[in-house]
Amino acid sequence: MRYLLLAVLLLPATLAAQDPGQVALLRGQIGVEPERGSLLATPARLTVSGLPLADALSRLAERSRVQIAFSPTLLPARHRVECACTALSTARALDRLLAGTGLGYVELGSQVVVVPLAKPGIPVADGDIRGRGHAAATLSGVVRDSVSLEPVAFARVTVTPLGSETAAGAGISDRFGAFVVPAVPDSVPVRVDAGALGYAWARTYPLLPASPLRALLSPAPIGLERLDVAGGERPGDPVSSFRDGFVIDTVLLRRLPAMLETDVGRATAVAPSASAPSDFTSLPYIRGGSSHGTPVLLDGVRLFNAFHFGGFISAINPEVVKRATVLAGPGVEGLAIGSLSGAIDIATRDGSRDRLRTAGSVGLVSSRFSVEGPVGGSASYLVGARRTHPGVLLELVTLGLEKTSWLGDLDRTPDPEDVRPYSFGDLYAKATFDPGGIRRLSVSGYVNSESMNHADKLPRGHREGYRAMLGSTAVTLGSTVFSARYRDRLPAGAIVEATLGHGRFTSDLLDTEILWIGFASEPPDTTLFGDGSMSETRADLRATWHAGGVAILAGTQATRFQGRHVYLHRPNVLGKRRFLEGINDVLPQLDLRGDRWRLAAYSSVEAPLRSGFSTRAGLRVDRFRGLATTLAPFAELSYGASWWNARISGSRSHQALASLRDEETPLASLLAYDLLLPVGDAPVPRNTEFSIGWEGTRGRLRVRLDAYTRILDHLRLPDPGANPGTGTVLTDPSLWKLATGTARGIEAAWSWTGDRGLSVLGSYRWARVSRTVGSRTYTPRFHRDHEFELASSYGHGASSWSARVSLASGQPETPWLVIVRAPDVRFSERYDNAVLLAGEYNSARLPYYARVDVGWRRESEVSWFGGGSVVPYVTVANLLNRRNVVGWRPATSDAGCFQLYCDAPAIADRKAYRRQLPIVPFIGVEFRF
Amino acid sequence: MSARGRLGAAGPGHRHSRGSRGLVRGLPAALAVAGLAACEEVRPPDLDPAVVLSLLVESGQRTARMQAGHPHADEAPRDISATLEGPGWTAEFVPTGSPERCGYRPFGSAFTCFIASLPEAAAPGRYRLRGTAPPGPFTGEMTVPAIPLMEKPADTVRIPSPDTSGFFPIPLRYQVDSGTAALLVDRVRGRLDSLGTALVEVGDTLHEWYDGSPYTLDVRVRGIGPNFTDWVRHTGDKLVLPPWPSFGIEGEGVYGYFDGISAPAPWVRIIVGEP
Repeated sequence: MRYLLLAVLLLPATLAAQDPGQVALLRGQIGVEPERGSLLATPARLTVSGLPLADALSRLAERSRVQIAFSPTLLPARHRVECACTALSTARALDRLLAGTGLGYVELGSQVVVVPLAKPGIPVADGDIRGRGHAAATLSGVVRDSVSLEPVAFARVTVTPLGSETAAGAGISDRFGAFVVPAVPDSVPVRVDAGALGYAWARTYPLLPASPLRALLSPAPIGLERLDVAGGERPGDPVSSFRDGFVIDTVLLRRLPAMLETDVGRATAVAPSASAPSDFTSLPYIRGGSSHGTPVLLDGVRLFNAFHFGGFISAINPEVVKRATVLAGPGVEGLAIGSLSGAIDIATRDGSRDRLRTAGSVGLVSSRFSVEGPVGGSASYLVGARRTHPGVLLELVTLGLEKTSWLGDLDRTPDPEDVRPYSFGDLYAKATFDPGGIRRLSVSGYVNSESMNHADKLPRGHREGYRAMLGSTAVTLGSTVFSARYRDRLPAGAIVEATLGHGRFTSDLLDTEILWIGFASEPPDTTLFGDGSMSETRADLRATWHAGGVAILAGTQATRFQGRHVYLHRPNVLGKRRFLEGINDVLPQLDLRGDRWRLAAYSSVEAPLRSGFSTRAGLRVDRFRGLATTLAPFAELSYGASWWNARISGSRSHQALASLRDEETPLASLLAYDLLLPVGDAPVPRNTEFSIGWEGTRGRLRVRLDAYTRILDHLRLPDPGANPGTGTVLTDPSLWKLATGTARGIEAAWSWTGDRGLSVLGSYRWARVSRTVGSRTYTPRFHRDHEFELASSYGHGASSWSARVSLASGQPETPWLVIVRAPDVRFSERYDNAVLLAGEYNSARLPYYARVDVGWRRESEVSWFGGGSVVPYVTVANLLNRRNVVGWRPATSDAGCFQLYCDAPAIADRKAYRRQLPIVPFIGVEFRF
Repeated sequence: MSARGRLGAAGPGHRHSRGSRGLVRGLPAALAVAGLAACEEVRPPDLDPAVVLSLLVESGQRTARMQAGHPHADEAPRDISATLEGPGWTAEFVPTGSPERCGYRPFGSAFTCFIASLPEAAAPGRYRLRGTAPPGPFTGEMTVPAIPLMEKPADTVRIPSPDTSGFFPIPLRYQVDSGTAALLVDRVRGRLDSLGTALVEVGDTLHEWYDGSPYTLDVRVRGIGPNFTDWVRHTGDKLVLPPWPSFGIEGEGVYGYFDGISAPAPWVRIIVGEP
């Protein structure tokens, strides 16, 4: 709603393919002989019995994947149909469904429109109102899916005086479908169009509606017939849906090869701004920032450590996801979030408003289930749950992962025992109330837990003599999120939105192990224990006004972060020899507490200029209590032409939360867990960013280019030179030093969607990223200079194939130049020891990265539980079994060890590489009823 | 030219970065790379050879031993000449032809053992090393520390039985000269069961294990200089970044340590576990 004035520049014309004026004059036919390859010739794959006609048409659209536009109010009430049309074309199926209704159909552009047979029924206003004097008013309303009644985000809404070819005003619906079109004439007949990919809606009015427009399946449309479009499953275009971000909707989500299962986090990595630090991390880093600067927002509230399985799987059940938006660069949304490196904003679906629906999946590792439905006429619910399987299936995954050195020490074959005791589960519930107009209230809650109770660990395969070594690890982690959001309309067309939320992460650790010193060993005893939590409580209030073509946003925000991390090592443990790479390599001894309020006010203005130019500008003021007050401005200048637009912008942001993660440790690429803590004193970490972008649409091809440069100031980082290649993933903040960072890059993204089921989405990114700690400037380990992603899908019949190609240059490594051996007199003059001389920190590169994933899925109609679909799927990750690596450590040898005792294993003249995913197949089945 | 400059020549990363640049020449090239991806093997590191010298002069000894090796080559270096300069004398190192003469068995590389016969037993004081290796000349300087004077425990010490099993600290108090950076502690449990040698930083304590059964622990210490102490600090699997530290030897393409170690102080007996 805040971007209405630039809407024409944002959405390609193809998104609103329907011309309502043209539709209004159409006459339908029955018995059309479709041309080969036309939409009407598409196989219907439909079997319905006793369904209302509207539902049958919707089902036909879903099954045939042909957009079918129809007006529910044109359809005869209580008319039920039957059609065993599995082998028929869409035209023949429509013949049967529409028989006796007085309706026909016509193929129009990329859709089939159902219209009356005999008379048009949609009068067209005459006369040219251009040049008439009329007052300006504001139109607001909500855009919803015609079948599920879910809000449709990023839809373009235009108001055009009848007889005119030029829209008088336009707006973009927000994430809840609300839109505002300011400064449009209120005293002449107008046509209102709403369009997005897969959706269209149009209506004419004798006068501009004064009340909020309900683009719903309203029983009493005003004026002329409206047109609703039930879209077949076509993904929204991620490149051009939203100018401030990269949008992945559920359709695109399912068209990417699944890793274990459909994963919203992994899908976001197709965004050119996003870079996954390794195969084991589902959530990407954004534009050279690390994870702590990119909050994952679930329903507008921060979800800490938004993953399971060490980062391998996103923590959010894909059944409840509506879309994920990667907010990378400067923008109004970024102004409202106030983070260092954008955000990943995950929006959940509203529950179904038409009937009870269930969906789920049984995968290799976990199963998930969701149920949703209406409550009365203005409310809905959605509940989704997910849980790992015990036993056999998880072992299969372990077999796939154990070859990667991901589990356990580098020099031993990991044991399936390492993973078997692991489990996770998550539960999400949401209730939505739509009393009317744009008023809306949604309340959602999320809870997850994961645990590893790892008793009697036996590092088999390491060295036979160590079989008797025992110990155990018990880890319990959990996250919760609560969100309540309310939206309403204020006088003068303003929209107000309030959010209350709370996100919390808890951890509980207990590790026991045997320690050895000399030939003596201790019985198993606690080596590390502790618990911790971090939470963020927030209250947001924002309002948007539209006046004279100008949109004004004002908001205020209060957040409170509380963190407590207390993990204690038993005295004398540090420095002793341990035989397992375990929790001690992840976590140091910590006793930290932090509590910080952040109060913010922000405002932005969006206004058109002359000759196709427009501008946005904003300012955010933050008061970090007990720390500092900061100013964060944002400004953007845009230009829009007929098929392309361009923009240049600059922004600044602050964030007081710093991360305990040391991204430079090898394990950091494999374990994504993070603990946050507010910086103890000023200055506050800061991001200053400038970007320039271009976006264009030619035919079915959409291209977006962005270039950016960032300066990160006042970061808190440990010195990577202090323990290069070693150290724990999470560090003690006492090791923090004031640091700076830079990032600059060029990003390109393109999408192409064909008629015959083929679609392609690609991105390429070049970037340079650096960090400076003290006198040392280096490239962080997670960064790759070049990244190329290509995702394509092809649907034929009930089957669809997908492929994803990822190519990237190698991540930084510190060149190991020479090993200098010399006697060590500590070991009875028998053994040598070595100093490993290295080149400049991270000045070399690991081998390049390449991975090809392929997927297949087939949708089958079943009659179980009243009818639905079952979709088995198969994915093969790393089809070419490329030996990608994510880091290395010097290999060790037993050659210098004495019998079973090896206090200081000799360093060998080779590297022990940590491999990424080998070729791994995943299977599963999804269902919907 | 410094050792750093010599050793810091081309590393493995240079080849990898050339491959990375090839990825971005466009889509066809990228897809071709993807097709070849399955054939790619991870290359082992290419280590540059250099001469590594290690030399500890022990007070009270009439000979000094120097090991010379390549870090990566199978063939031990031979064209090395070196002299040790003591207070008023110079002794030349002579290759022995038998690595065992140095009493040292290295891992993964060959080496040559050189021995210098000293005109007198080495004593605490300043020593200098001069020589020439294939990469160029080298020099070194160090001080042999004096024998530490143990104050605590000075003789038999009885440690009260700890309440529970576990490690417990044994405080060490001693006098050392300025050339001593750490103590080498030899520990023998029950007269026969050697616990090895620990390097204890000056001012530190010794941690020992008690499992409920009384035993005797014999301890003796030697002072050792800062070069070897620093060397030990840098050993292990941790990469040492530039500027590389020096451990007492300076020279083109030559690396290693040159330091002194004192003769051992008398044994001290600690009785563990008796009240």
